[in-house]
Amino acid sequence: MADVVRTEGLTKYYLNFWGNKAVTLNDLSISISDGETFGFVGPNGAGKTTTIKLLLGLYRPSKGKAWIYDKPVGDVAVKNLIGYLPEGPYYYDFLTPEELLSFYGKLSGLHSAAIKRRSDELLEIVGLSGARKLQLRKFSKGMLQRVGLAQALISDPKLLILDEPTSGLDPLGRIEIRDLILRLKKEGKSILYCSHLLNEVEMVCDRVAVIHKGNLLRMGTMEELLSIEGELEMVVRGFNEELLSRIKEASVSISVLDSQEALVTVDSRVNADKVIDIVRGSSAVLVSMADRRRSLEDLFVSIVKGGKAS
Amino acid sequence: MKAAALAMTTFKEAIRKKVLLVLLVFAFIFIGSSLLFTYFSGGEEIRMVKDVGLTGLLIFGLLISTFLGMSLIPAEIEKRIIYTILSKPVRRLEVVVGKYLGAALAVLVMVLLMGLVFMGLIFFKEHTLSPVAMLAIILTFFELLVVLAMAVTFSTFASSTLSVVLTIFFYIMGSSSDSLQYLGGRSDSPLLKVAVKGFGYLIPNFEIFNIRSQVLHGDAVPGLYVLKAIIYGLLFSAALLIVAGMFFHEKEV
Amino acid sequence: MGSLSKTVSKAQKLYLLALVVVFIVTALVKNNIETDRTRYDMLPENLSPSDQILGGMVGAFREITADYLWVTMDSFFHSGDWQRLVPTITLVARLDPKFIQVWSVGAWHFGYNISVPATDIKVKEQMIRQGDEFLAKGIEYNPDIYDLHFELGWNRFDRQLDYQRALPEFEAAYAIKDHPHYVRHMIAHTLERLGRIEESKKLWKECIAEGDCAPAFGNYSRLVKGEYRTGVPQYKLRNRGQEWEKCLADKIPVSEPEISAYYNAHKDTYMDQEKISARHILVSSRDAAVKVLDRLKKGEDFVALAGKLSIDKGTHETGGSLGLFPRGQMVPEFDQAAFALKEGQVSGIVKTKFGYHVIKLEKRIPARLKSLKEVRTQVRDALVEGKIQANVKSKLAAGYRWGVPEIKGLEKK
Repeated sequence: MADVVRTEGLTKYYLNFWGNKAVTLNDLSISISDGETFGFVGPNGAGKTTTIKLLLGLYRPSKGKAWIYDKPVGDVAVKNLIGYLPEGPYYYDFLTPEELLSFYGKLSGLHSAAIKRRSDELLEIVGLSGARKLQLRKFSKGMLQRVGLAQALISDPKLLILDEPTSGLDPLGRIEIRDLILRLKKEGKSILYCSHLLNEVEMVCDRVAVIHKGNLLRMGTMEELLSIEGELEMVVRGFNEELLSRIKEASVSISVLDSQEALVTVDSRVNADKVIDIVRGSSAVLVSMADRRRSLEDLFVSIVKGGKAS
Repeated sequence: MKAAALAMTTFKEAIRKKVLLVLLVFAFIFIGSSLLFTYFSGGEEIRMVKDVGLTGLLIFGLLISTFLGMSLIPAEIEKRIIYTILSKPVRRLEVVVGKYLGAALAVLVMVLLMGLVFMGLIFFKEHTLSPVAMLAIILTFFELLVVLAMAVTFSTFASSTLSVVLTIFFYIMGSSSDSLQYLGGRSDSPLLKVAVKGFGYLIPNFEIFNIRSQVLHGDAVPGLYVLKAIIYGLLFSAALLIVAGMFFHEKEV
Repeated sequence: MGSLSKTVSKAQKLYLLALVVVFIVTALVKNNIETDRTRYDMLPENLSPSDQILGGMVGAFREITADYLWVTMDSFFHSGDWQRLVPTITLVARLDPKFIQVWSVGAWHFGYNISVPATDIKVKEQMIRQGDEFLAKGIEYNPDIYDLHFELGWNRFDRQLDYQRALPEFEAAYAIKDHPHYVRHMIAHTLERLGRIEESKKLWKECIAEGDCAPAFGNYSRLVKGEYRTGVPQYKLRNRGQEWEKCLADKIPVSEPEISAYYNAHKDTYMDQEKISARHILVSSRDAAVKVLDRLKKGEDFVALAGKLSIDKGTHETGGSLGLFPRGQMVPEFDQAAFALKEGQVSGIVKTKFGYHVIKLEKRIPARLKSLKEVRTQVRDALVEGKIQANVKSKLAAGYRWGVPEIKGLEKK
């Protein structure tokens, strides 16, 4: 299966009046495979939107190349395979959702019958069936974002490019949009998900690229990025002081969770085995054992602070 | 089809603009004021009504076309609607042409409304409808199409203020084209002669659409001439739109 | 951007190709249209360079600018502001040379409104000439319209008294379709003035035959009777002579002895007549008038009584006062009785068609001869007027024509 999105050394810079370069994206090489939800994270101004605009052919690369479904970006033919939800968009506010979808449907080259069927379906999916005859000017931000999603989905694209889909929404709106995205993911869409809201990316994405000041800092699956190599966490129930002091030698840290349970962190399999042996030889029980994970936020802060650490 | 969808949306958006409504009201007042003029006109009442009316139609048509044309594409970029449009399988030239056609439709509606008031006034004064005046209105519309295309073209590479200035500048240049040609023809320098001649082709000659003099003096205008003038207007607009498409094609939005 | 400028993309090539094709077609259409515009006379190609620049500057708003100036021109005419009227007329004509009205109204302003009151012969003749040239220019721009030919013919016929040059203009107007019937009449009149009587007669006959005028038409019957008028008519020459000679009024010498001699000879015209100031009480019956007289005899005040009893609405509030008046202003009965009274005396009952009057004479101002000092300018004006008349008369007798062109060959016919 071919890559959905592939870029090779994609670079975008501007020359200012004095001839100095202002680089907004530097040497980006990524690939997104079919059915994957790819998170693209970084603070505002990191180069996320620039990348999207390059992928949509709104910008031209200064260097490097990019393909979508093996077609060079900007190719009109490939655009029906892409659904794009821009950040904080505005739609003709005198149109109703139906009219708006009909407009974008026609731009996608669909027949009016197909548009009708598809827009009914989409309005149902995004939960706007009841507001189909309402002018967009009366819509809340969350509703607009849902219309935006419907618009992006009008031609039933295989790839969705979502730029900050939940920004500016209230918590409930975020959950609605997130659920929608998860549903689309389940349907098998490939998604390029750009956001600076890391916990959302963590919840939705399979793979993540971290970008800062135009540079790709880290890329990998959630697992790869978030688990800390070798470290394991075990929860022990029914401990006593004596047991804890025996475990202590083999562990990195012990924290008492409550009167029954304690969390033991070890730095290697060997040490984990030792702890298990000790626990077995006592009256305590091993409740759980897992790789130790950190949050994406922790990772992000450490990466950005540490510069281009791999 | 795609251009038509863009055109219809653009048209709907254009006729909702309050500025246009205000301009239209002013145009009605201006055209109607020709009735007041007749009190001072020394027996040339109908001339005043026709001249003030047709010129009013032109002036307000120019304002409307320039205003619509200059904001057509930049507003789309500013509101970021262009991103969603261009993310669909649409060619950039289609966007330019579609938006232009929508604005042209809006201009047509405006011209029709003003023309209706004007013809009503003439009918009220003369009790006949002047066919030449109707032709003059039709030609004014095609003149406005060229102005609209000019404004759109400038807006693809210049700021909105600059596009307005350029549109007005080239309108004035195009209106004085006859004089320029005449003066160029009298020049002694062959280089200047050629330059002026070439200039005449590069800048639309708006005087071609001006048959107000014929309306005022009751001269007939051959139908074939009107047809040729319309073709000229359409061709020039097309040429301008190609230029606009060329610039927009390269533009990073 | 960098990669763009290096090579021209395929799309750009297509755009450029399309542009060139459309452009060439546009240029061809434009050439065709320009030929049409020349053919249909839509190009003002015979304008002077300055007019071209003027027209170019106002561009599409040429006609409406002309309209605006036309309106202001009208106001200059009404306020008599000739200094601004003349340039405005020419400007309107230059902006919109097909505006017929401006040529004819302009020429009328030049030939009559400005020229007639002018006090300088040079200005007078200059304005007449300018009117003629203005119309000729108008005809140059509008050769296919009868109006301006007729207007120029009339200007020469009536203002310049130049029948020879009027005739071709009337004939040109006649040659253009849709001319009104009086154009032919003017040709007939002009032929008569030129002494081409038979042609004139023939033309009138045609007019009558075609129903242009009644068979009993004065001009025709006069021609038939041989009472035709050739050349410039005397009355026109006399009027013209006076108009022209008046310009010389302040140059005509008038000596002191002449003035005093004239004053002495026309003393009656410089008399201030006898005037009286009187009051009256008007009543409707003789009985009432008798009662009025009775009450006056008893010593009642005339003014108070007039206020109470007079039925003359115009005077009863001013105590019957009639103010100062000369003889002949009142009805004869009243006049006689009033002028017969002495100052302070009250009349008996005077009957007029208004009713019964009782009159009291208040004051009498006797007749008086105005001094020469008082009436000097009047005397001088009268003398100058007389001299102008005499001058015109003697010059007329000597065959002087005040700039009227000679009509050659007329005498021979």
